[in-house]
Parts: sequence; C-alpha cells; structure tokens
Amino acid sequence: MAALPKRIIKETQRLVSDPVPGITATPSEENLRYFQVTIDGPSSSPYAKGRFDLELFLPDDYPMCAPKVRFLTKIYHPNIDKLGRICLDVLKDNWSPALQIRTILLSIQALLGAPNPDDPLANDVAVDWKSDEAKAIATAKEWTEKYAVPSTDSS
Amino acid sequence: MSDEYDSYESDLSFEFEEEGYSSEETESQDSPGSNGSPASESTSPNALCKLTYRSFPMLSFIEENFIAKAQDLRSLFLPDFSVDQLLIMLQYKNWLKLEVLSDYYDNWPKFREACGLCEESGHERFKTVKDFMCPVCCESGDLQVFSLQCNHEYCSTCYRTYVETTALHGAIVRCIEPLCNLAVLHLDIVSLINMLPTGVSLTEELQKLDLKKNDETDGDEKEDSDTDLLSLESSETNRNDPSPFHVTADLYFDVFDFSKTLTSTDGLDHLNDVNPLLNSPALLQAARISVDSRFKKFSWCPALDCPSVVQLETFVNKTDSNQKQESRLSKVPIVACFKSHEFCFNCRFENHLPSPCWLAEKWIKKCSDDSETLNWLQAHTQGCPECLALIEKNGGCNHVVCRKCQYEFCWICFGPWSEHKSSFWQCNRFVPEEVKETELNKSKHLLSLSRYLHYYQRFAAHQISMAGDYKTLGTIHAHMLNYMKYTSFTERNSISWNDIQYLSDSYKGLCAGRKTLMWSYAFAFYLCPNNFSTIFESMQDFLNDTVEKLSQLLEQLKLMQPSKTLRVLIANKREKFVELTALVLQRRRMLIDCANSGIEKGDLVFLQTS
Ligand SMILES: [Zn+2]
Ligand SMILES: [Zn+2]
Ligand SMILES: [Zn+2]
Ligand SMILES: [Zn+2]
Ligand SMILES: [Zn+2]
Ligand SMILES: [Zn+2]
Repeated sequence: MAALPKRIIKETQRLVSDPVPGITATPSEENLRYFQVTIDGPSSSPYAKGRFDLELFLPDDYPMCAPKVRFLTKIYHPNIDKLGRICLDVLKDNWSPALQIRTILLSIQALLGAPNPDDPLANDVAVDWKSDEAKAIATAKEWTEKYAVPSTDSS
Repeated sequence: MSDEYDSYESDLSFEFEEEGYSSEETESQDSPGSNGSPASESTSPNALCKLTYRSFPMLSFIEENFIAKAQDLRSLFLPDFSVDQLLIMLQYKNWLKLEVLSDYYDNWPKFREACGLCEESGHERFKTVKDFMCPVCCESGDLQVFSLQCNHEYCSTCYRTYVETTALHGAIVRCIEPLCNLAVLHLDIVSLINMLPTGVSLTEELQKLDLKKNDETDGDEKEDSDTDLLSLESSETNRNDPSPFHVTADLYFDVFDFSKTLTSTDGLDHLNDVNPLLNSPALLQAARISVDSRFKKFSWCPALDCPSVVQLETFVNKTDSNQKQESRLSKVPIVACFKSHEFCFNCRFENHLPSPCWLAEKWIKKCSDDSETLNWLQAHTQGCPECLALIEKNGGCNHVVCRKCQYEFCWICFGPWSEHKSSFWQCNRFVPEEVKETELNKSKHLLSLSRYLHYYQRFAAHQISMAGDYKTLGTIHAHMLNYMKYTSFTERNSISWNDIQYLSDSYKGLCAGRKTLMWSYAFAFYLCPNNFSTIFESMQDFLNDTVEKLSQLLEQLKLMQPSKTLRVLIANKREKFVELTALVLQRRRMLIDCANSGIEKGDLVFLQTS
C-alpha cells in the first residue's frame, strides 16, 4: 500500500485534535483512508437528538476526487436514498480539491437541517415531502427516534 | 429520459444555427480537407443505400466545430476577445454562436460572470512563492504556484493534476478555490499539462495507443482474455469461443496499413503542431460530448480507441419503435471512418449486412441472453457438434443414439452413455435448471436451441477466424519488419512496403467477407426455410469457400521465413491474392444483393418467433 499523502495525515490530525462540534470522524486502524463518522442531527431539524453513523472513504485520487460518504443509519430524507447515498453538490460536480473532510461533513450536517426535495435522490421521500411536509417531517422524526437515538443498552 | 430530450433539443438548435450561418459554415466545413485528411464526401459502403458522409479525425472536428467558430466570432463580431476566451463563451453556450452573441449583447457583465472570464490584466500565472503551503497537497517550501487573475494560488503540480482530472468531465474547468467561478482557459490547461515531465500529454497518450495496438498483433493475450470471459469448465472448444459480447465490444476493426507503419504519421501529428489548443484534453472531452449530443448527424467510430468522427451529409431516418421491422437493406446506413472501419450509423454496430438493423439487434441480444445456455450446451455436446440439429429422443428411454453418427449419450445430462452404464442415476446431480421441464417441452426447447446453436457456431467461427487472420498478418508484418531492418538496402531495393500493400487490402477484403458471412448466419437464423432461403444458403457456401481459400493463402505466407524466398513468393503470390480478394468482394456483394432482392420481392420471409 502506498504511503499516506501528507494531506490526509494533516487532515486526520486536525480532525482528532480540533474536532467539529457534533461531528466525529475516526480513521479505521486497518485502513487509514476509511473513517467511521457520526453526525448529530441539527437541533432545529426533525433529526434533532439523533446521532447518525456514516462511513467515509478517501479514494486513491483524493483530493482530486471527492470522498465517498454514505449513511449507515437509516434516515428519512429526500436527498438520501435507501442505501444511504447522499445527493450533495459538493460531493459531485462542485467538489474542489481545496475542500476537506471537515467541510464535507459540515455540509452534510447542514443538509440535515435543510432538506431539498426539489433535487431529490430518494424520489418517493421527495414526493411525500412536497405533498405533505408536516407528515414527512413527522415520519423523519419517527425514524430518527427508531434508528438514530442512541439506545441505553448499547455502548 | 430527460437526457435524450436534451440532446434532441440541442440537435435541433444546431440545425437552426447552421441555417443562420450557412455561408460561413460551408466555408469552414472544408477545412479538414485542406489539412490533408480525407474529409471529402464519401458514399456508403452499402451500395444499396444512397448516403453521403464525411469522415475525419476528431482533431479536425475540434478545429472545425470549436476553434473555427471562435475565430469567426472574433473576426466578425467580438474582436476584443481572444480565441481562447471565445472558446469558453462557446463552450458555456453549447457551441452555439448565435447564443453567445445574444447573451453578449443582452447582458455582458452577467454573461462574463457566468462564463468565468475577466479582463486580461497581464497577470503572471506561474510564479515561485517563498515558503508557500499548498492547501491541496499540504507540501510547503519555495513552490511554483499557478493562479488565475483571482490570485487563488495552489502549487502548479496540484493544479496540473486538478486540470487533468476535471478536463474529463467535459465542462469548463474552473479555479480550484471553492465558489470561485473563474475559468481556466484552454491555453492555460495546455501549458499546465506540458509544464512538467510527469503526467502524460495527449500526444503521448495517442502514441501509447498506437504502441498498444502493435503489441496486440504478436501477443498471445487474446486467448487468455477469452477464457476469462467464460466462466466455464475448461475444455478445448470453450477456450476458443468468443463471448457473444465481442460482437459489440471488441470489434476486430483494426486493419493493417503497411505503408503507414514505417512513417507512423496518423494524419494527426501535424494538426497538433498547427494549433496548441488542440492539445487541451478539455476540448477533446467537450468534442466527445458534443458529438454524442448531435447523434443524428455525427457519430464516433465505435471501433476501440479509434479517434474518428463521421458526419452525415444525408439525413438518415433513425428507425424508431414504430418501424422496428424495417427490413429493406437500402435503409441500412453503413459508413466508414477515416481509418476505414465500417459501421452502421443507425445502430452503431459493425457493418451487419445482410442483416437489417432490427435483426442485428435481436441477434446480439439473443446471443448475450442465451450465452449461459449456449456455453452449457456446447460444453455438453462436444462429441457431436455437426449433427446436433438432428438429436431426437428415442421413446422414453434416456439413452439416446444420434441417428447420423451413432453417438450415444444421456438425455438428462448430455454426457456419454458409456459412463452411465454402471451408475446411471448419478447423473441427476448435473441436471441444469433449464432442462428440468416436461418431456415435451424439453424436446421442443432443445430443438430450437440446437437450431440456434447451428447458426451461432458458424457466426462465432468466423469471428474467431478473424482474430486468427489478424494474428497471421501480424506475424507476416513482423517478418517483414525484421527483413527490412537486417537486409541491406541494395539487397532489398527490389521490395518495398508498397509492394506488399496488397496484403493489407486482401486482409481488409477477408475481414469484409467474414463479417458478411457472420451476419448472414444471423440472417439465416431468422429466415423461414423455403426455396429462396436455400438459394441464399448456397450463395453463402460460395462466399465461405472463397474466404477460406484466401485465408489459407495468407496462412501459407506466415510459415515462410523472411528471406529472398519470401520476397520472391510475395511477388509471385500477388496475383493470386488480388484475384481471390476480388472474388471475395464480388461474392459478398452477390450475397447481399440476393438477400436484398429476396426481401424486397417477398421471397425471403422472416420467422415471427425470436
Ligand atoms: Zn499542491
Ligand atoms: Zn479563483
Ligand atoms: Zn474507426
Ligand atoms: Zn444497423
Ligand atoms: Zn451425431
Ligand atoms: Zn446422465
């Protein structure tokens, strides 16, 4: 395996020494390009109180290409599909090598606070969201409680 | 869905623009021709089809469709801008000159912002900065940095990698800084890419492709890759079977051109020298996208790595779902790229005459759908490939004897009966899903399969042979190279590459013959058997016969060592080669004509089933 680029080392160090509030990112021991991530739902959103698990992988051509990020926790959100894939411009066309893991995770947290049903990934969720927002928000809360609120018996 | 609609739209507006600028466009359209590339109008290799088109290298496409447009804009309307800046405006507006002008006159500041252009201010793009920390790679020191007028500095190595990566998206390349919209001009892209020895420029890339092609001629990897494609038990027959996917993916399009191998000019090199803009991978990618979106008029050559474009001069009605069964061969728009790869503009397969497009598509689909069944069947019936079509079950007994060759086998597993005598019921283990049907269905199913197998085997055989012919020619070519290299000039002055150019023509003829034969088997598979289909099949035999004779002749040459004898023989065989090649082409033509008139008169009828 090739040596880890300086860039990744620096980013990892900073993620650990100067963590972003509400976000954790821990590199895996076997593969330093693979991160276990948690994001806390923004307090003003239907995802409040939830803690969502994600996985993040830095491909070989990172930072020329965006990191690959995916939700592991089930989530009801118009821009996140069943497989946890995220529709976010900075992860695709608007990626810039000057962006970082930190900025990406912040963008994802912001996405939880501001769902965008007009640019959906999960079509059925987006349709619900547009036809009956209140009901959709209720479902999102329900799912958050069911899947994302840390239960007492684990950990 | 929406993609298709979009491309349709842009196609329309393209047409519109051409009308608006007809006089200039016609002038600029001649440019590839004047550069020495064969861009004059050609007529379809399908003699039945009235169709004219032009073929040229993709760099000519870029010159003609992108750079010439920018030059026009500059000389006629916007002299204050550089061609490079105008290219960005054009790219932003999908290469539509009228749209650029309308946005420019409408609201220039807004348009400029959207394109990401700014006033040229003599900004120094490359400079060395003391103690610079690059935010992308985190290296620091006295680094060479690159920046646009916005002064967003990144080390030039990162910038180059960034540009190379982003160019592949085909959109305008912007400053690295997030949210900075400034465009990296194509000349900047070119200077970034040429800046350092690491990384590969387009020219090197093209050279590499050429080298790769030459390697393939004497390499043995072909067979290996074939085995990989088949997830089967290893057996001699299977190893040589091409996957049906070869039909679409790896077309044996490549043709040797002996006269060119020594001088190695591809008609591209001189273009690169003329205009450095042509080295921009971003323009290259934009060209790809542009061609794809104007699919009614333009097409890439589908041959692997062939950098050429075909532009139709005649309008072709793409067969839509309403007329799926268009069977007239005069409606099959065969074109040839500037490297003489023939393909169908309608379905983008190789030249599939005498099959109509719908039949070619159906056949290819069938081959890939049935590939597993096929492989299974072939693996299990090796003992009796010739009379396979005649297999019938003798009453209820699973012990079957082939009427023609007396081969005895097990109806359940297709294994030889001799192995069953002691422990018959063991064979149940191997029963594959598709034969676990009722007795009646089974024999029907098998009958139709074996009919299919009959035609498929012949179809595939020619495909395999084509690869074999290619190898043979490669060996001859290598012999010749050796001979030219180690023989003194006086000794070999009686023979030159031009003297054996006829071999290349013969190979082309041989390929053309095999292609037509392949597709004539697909054609025959869908044919109702009648008197006329019998006539068709006898014409097939004629072509088959001549093709194999020509192939043998080529094979004989391969066995000779490069020496005086080779020289003499090559000279002596010439007449025979030319004669046989002409005969192949003539019989090929006759076979296609026979299919054509049969269809038009209604003598040849297609089966309704799949
Ligand atoms: Zn850098
Ligand atoms: Zn900038
Ligand atoms: Zn071609
Ligand atoms: Zn076709
Ligand atoms: Zn037999
Ligand atoms: Zn058996």
